[in-house]
Amino acid sequence: MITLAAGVPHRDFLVAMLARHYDPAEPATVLVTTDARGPVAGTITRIILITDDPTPTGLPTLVVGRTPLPHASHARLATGHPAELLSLIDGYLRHPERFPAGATTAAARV
Amino acid sequence: MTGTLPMGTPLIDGSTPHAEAAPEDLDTVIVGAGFAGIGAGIRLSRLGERSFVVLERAAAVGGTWRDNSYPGVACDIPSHLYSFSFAPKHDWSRFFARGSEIQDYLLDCAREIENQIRTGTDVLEMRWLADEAHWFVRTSAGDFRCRTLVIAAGRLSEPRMPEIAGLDSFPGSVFHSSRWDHDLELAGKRVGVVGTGASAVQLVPEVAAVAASVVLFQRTAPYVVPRDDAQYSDRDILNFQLDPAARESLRSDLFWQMESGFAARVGTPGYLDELRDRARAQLESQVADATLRDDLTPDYEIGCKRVLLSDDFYPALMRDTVTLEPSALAEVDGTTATGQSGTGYDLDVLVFATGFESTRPPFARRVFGRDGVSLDHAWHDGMVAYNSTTVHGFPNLFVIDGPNASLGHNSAIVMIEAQIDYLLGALHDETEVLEVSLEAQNAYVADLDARAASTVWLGGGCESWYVDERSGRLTLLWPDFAYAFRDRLAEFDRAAYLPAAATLSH
Repeated sequence: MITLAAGVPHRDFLVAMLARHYDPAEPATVLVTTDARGPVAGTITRIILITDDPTPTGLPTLVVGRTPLPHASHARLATGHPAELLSLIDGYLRHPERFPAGATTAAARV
Repeated sequence: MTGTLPMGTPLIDGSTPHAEAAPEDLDTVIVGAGFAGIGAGIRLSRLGERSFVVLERAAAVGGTWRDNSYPGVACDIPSHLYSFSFAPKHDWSRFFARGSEIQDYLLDCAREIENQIRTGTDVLEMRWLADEAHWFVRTSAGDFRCRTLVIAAGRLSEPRMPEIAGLDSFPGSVFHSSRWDHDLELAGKRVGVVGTGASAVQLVPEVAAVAASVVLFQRTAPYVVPRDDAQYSDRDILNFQLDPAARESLRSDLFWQMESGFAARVGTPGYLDELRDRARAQLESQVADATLRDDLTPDYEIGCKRVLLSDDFYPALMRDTVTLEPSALAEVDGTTATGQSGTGYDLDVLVFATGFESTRPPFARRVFGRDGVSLDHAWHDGMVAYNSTTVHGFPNLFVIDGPNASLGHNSAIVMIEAQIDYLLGALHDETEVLEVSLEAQNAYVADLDARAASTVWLGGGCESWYVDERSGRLTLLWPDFAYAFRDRLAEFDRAAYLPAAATLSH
């Protein structure tokens, strides 16, 4: 269902927590990465790109960072805490419709 | 019928409803004026709703923070997070608020809906009238008829008192920590404290400072991590007043920081070790005596029971006048209280800091749903509710802070607000009768059980009030991140509820 590239912040935490709900043995369809030019497996259909300096990926993308990308979904985080990033990834996996392309989703207000 | 309980229907006290007094007709009745009830009332009010009441059996609002006034009472959640997002307070005096400051905050909040609050009103019975599609609510101060019933009675409202042989023979004062006897002068007294939970670690240092002696009966050693409390400076408070964004940023930071604590509750390496190391380091640095340290070392995994925050609990136990009895109180004979170890102590006062009836809420015995079944009966194997809020067989009933809606790692207020949002979504749906399907409820409970299976609350090797002893199920806590609960309840999901025709045909 999901795979996280090396270099993703809080990767160990994210992998451990996502494994509670998403079967790591399933073919990954969503890639989380910090590098838009990195390798992308053929099964990947969506990308979560964590960067403040995004470039297009060629696939439906959620950019997580300060700068939006035309035609991509965009979200900002309020903090650098790993759980907030987890909630964003989890939310995108469960409800991609809440992250429309070309729009910025503000950090969730607590 | 015209809005009364069918004549001849016996109430749970054996009487029949008043024939002459017509009930007050309302859209919504909220039971309980603690955080959950006040919050639900404020949100309803801000939507322009006026046809509701908040019923409170006590003489004042406040719930937990009204009842718990023992020396040293304070919150374990940072004050800027332990408050409503829709009623922010910039001038919290401390990082962790004292109980009285939280109570003052709730009194302030309640003023917004003071015309809707009825104190001194004990709810005696709540019964669903199927052919009227309304609830009948019988109270000590008159009856009500409403479309929607919201139970916000809390989980820390009924003191749990263990049955101790011979307790009646004790000639001194005996009381629960949530019913503190403020008229009692403890100076010069020999005080026994039963229990080592969150209340005990807060009150023991305060009592030890004034009493002649203190004996603490400990059934199970708690994990205690540093509290690291701090007072906000005038400059901090002014900054929060002038810059609401700074206050919101702090709240957000606190929430997400605490969220990461859930990782420890599912045994994530690193997170669990860090939490355990903090507790053990404090024990080793504050308790020099090896025997006492052994007695204070828990024999279960950290997080299985509530992790306590205190800087002065262990130092209080080091006082010459304080004795740790490393066993539960077994019996009382006159002034002598004896632990299970067989050691007896002569005492003048006994304080029970033994927690609350949380997994078997007494209110459930007063709620009767479709077919006259009591909620207590429906929950005979333990509390269950769809989305921790609605119960099959109990149409138009919403339980806030009920089954699996508490947290072991973050602020309960976030959960309460999520449930209030869900309630408002359901009311906006404007369906006359909303009853969750059994299939949806069962699927939710199965999902909860699956989430709970890998948590320290079930696998940590302890007995705790989070787990229902009848079923062995985790029924009190939401076994995941708080954000996941909030996301789940963000939109009212009509599809989980029975079609209107099905509810009316029952």
